[in-house]
Amino acid sequence: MPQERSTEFAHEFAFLAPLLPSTEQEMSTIAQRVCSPGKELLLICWHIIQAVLKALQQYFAAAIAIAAALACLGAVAFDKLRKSEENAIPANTSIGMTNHPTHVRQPESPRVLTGETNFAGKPVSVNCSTCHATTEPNLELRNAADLKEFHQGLHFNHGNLSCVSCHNPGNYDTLRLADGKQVEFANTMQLCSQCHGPQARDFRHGAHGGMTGHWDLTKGSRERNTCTDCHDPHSPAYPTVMPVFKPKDRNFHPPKAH
Amino acid sequence: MTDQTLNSPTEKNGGISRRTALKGIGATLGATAFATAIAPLTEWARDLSVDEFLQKHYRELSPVDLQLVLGRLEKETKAQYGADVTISDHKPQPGVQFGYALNLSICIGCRKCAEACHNENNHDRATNNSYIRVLEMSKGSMDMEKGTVNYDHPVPQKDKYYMPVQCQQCDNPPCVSVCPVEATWKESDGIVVVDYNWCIGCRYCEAACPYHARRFNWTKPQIPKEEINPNQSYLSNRIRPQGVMEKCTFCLHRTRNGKLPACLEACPTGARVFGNLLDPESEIRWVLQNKRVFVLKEELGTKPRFYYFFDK
Ligand code: HEC
Ligand code: HEC
Ligand code: HEC
Ligand code: HEC
Repeated sequence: MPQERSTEFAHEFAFLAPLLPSTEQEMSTIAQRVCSPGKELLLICWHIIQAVLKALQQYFAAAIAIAAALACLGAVAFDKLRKSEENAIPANTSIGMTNHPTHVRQPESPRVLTGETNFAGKPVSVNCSTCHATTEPNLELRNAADLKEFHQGLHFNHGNLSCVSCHNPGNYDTLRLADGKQVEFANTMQLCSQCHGPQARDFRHGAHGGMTGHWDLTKGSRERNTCTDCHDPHSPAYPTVMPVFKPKDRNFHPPKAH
Repeated sequence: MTDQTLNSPTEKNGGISRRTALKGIGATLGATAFATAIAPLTEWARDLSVDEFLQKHYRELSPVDLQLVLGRLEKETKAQYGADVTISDHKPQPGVQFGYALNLSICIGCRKCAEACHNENNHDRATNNSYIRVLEMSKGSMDMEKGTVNYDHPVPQKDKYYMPVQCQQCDNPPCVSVCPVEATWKESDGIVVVDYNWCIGCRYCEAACPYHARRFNWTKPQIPKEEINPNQSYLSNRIRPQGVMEKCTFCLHRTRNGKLPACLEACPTGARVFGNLLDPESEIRWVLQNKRVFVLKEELGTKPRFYYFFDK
C-alpha cells in the first residue's frame, strides 16, 4: 500500500523531469551561462533536486523535496541579491577592490659578443666593464663616426648628446642621470624621462607607449613596454615601416558577379 | 553621459517588426510553409533554419531561450565551419561607459589595428574585411572624406598623418534611428550593437553612418577553421550570416570582461587609449582632461565616444 502511494506521488512530480537537464554536463553548461559566478550554487541545487526526484519513490521524501527546493531558491535569490549589491557601486573604480599589477618591462643589460662560442656552442659575451674598467673614458665623444677602434657601425642620431650624457664613465655597466646619479640599465626609463618629461608623463597615464592586458585592473593585470622597446636609445626616431594588410575595395560595393 | 532607454523593439509598436510580419502570415500559412515561401526571395534565406527564423529579438529572449539560441549557433558553426567555438552573451557592466581615444601624433599608419580586428572578429578572409579603415591624410586637412585607404609605401610619409576610423559609438547614432526593424541599438555601456539574426539587411544604417563604419556581408564569410577565433559573443564576433550588417563593438567580448580591445593591443606605437569614462582615475579620462581632443564631424551632432588628439 505505501509503495503504491509513493509511485503515484512520483508520477505527479514526473512533469518536472523533462524540465530539468538530465546530465550533469548539460546542467553545467547552462549554469555556466545563466550566472557564471553562481555556477557552483546552481549545480549543487541541481544535484539536490536530482537526488530528491529519485528519493520521491519513497513516500516520506516528498516533504524533504519541497523543503530542499525552497532552500535552493532561497540560496540563489540570496546570491543574486549579494551580486546586485556588489554591482551597486556607482562607477567601476578601483575603490575597495584589489587591483592586479601593471608590469613594466625592464630592459636587460647590454653585453658585447666576443665572436667566440663556449663548449655548448653558445656565443660568448662580456659585459661593458670588461674593457672599460681599465680604460680612460672619452668624455667628449658625441659622434659615432669618431669611434675608430671599437663599436663600429653604431648609428647615433639623438640630439647633440655626448655618450656619457647617458653612459656612466665611472662604471660602464650602468647609466647615469644628469646629476651623476647611477641608474641600472633595467631602469633606463628613468634616464629617458629626465629629458622627455611630456612623454614620461603621458606614459604614466597610459597615453604613450601602449599596453596589453586589461583596462580594468580589478579583472586582470597589464603589461607595459619600456621606452627602448620602441626607441633605439642611439637613434630614437620611430622607424619607418611598410604597412600591412592592404584593404581590398569591397566596403562599399557588392562583389563582382562570378 | 546619456542614458539611453532600452525599449523593447516590439513594445514600441507601429514599426515593421520581422516577428509581427511573421505572425500575420504564419497564421494562415504555418511557419514552415512561410519559411519555404520566402526562401526564393533572398539568396541567403537558404541558410536560414526555421528555428532561426522564429527566433525572437535578442532583447526579448528569456535567459533560457537565449541559452538555446547560443547552443544552436555553436552547433551551426561546428556544422558549417568545422570549428568548436563558445558563443557567450556578454552583458554591459554597471558603472561602465566605454570611451576610446587615438593619438594622431603617434599613429604611423601601419594598419596593424585593422589586421588585428580582422582576425579577432572573424571577418571574411577573402575580402580583408575589417571594422577599421586607416586613412592617409594630408597634413593640414581634417576632412576624412579626403583621406585615402589604399596607400602602399613606407609609412609614415613626411607630409602625411594617419587616421584610423572605426565605429564612433555615437551617443546620438543615426544608424540606430534609421533601422526599420530596430535590429541595432545602443547598450547601456555605450556600445552600439546589431542583432545579426534580426537584421534584414536593408543597409539603411550603412548609408546613415557618416563615418562609413558599417559593413554588409555580401557573401557568407569564409574562414579556415583553424583561423576562427573561438571566443565569441552573440552581439560581437560570432561569424555573421550572409546578408546582414556588422560593425565594431569595441570588442565587447573582450572589453566587457575587463580586457583591452584587440586593435589597441595590436598597435605597435601605443597610439590608442581605452577605458571607462566614469572612472576618474582611468587613462581615457586623463586624456580627455589633459589633451585637446576633438571628434569627427562634430557638426552633425552624432556625439561620438571616439576621440582624436595631437600631442602638439
Ligand atoms: C672588447 C672591449 C670593449 C667592450 C666589451 C666594450 N667596449 Fe666600449 N669601447 C671600447 C673601446 C676600445 C672604445 C674606444 C673606441 C674609440 O674611441 O674608437 C670604446 C668606446 C666606448 C664609448 C665611447 C666613450 C668612450 O669612453 O670612449 C662608449 C659610450 C662605450 N664604449 C660603451 C660601451 C658599453 C655600453 C659597453 C657594453 C655594452 C661597451 N662599451 C663594451 C671597448 C669595449
Ligand atoms: C640617450 C642615452 C644614450 C646615449 C647618448 C648613448 N647611449 Fe649607448 N646605450 C644607451 C642605452 C639605454 C643602452 C642600452 C641599450 C639596450 O637596452 O639594448 C646603450 C647601449 C650601448 C652599447 C651596447 C649596445 C649596442 O647598442 O651596441 C654601446 C656599445 C653604446 N651604448 C655605446 C654608445 C656610444 C659610443 C655612444 C656615443 C656615441 C652612446 N652609446 C650614447 C643609452 C645611450
Ligand atoms: C640628456 C637628455 C636626453 C636623454 C637622457 C634622452 N634624450 Fe631623447 N632627446 C634628447 C634631445 C636633446 C633630443 C633632440 C630633440 C630635438 O631634436 O628637438 C631627443 C630626441 C628624442 C626623440 C625624438 C627623435 C626624433 O628624431 O624624432 C626620441 C624618440 C627620444 N629622444 C627618445 C629618448 C629615449 C627613449 C631616451 C632613453 C633611452 C632618451 N630619449 C634619453 C635628449 C635626451
Ligand atoms: C609602443 C612604442 C613606444 C613606447 C614604449 C614609447 N614610445 Fe615614444 N614614441 C612612439 C612613437 C610611435 C612616437 C611618434 C614617432 C613618430 O611619429 O615618428 C613616439 C614619440 C616620442 C618622442 C618624440 C616626440 C616628438 O616630438 O617627436 C619622444 C621624445 C618619446 N617618444 C619618448 C618616449 C619615452 C621617454 C618613452 C618611455 C617613457 C617612450 N617614448 C615610449 C612610440 C613609443
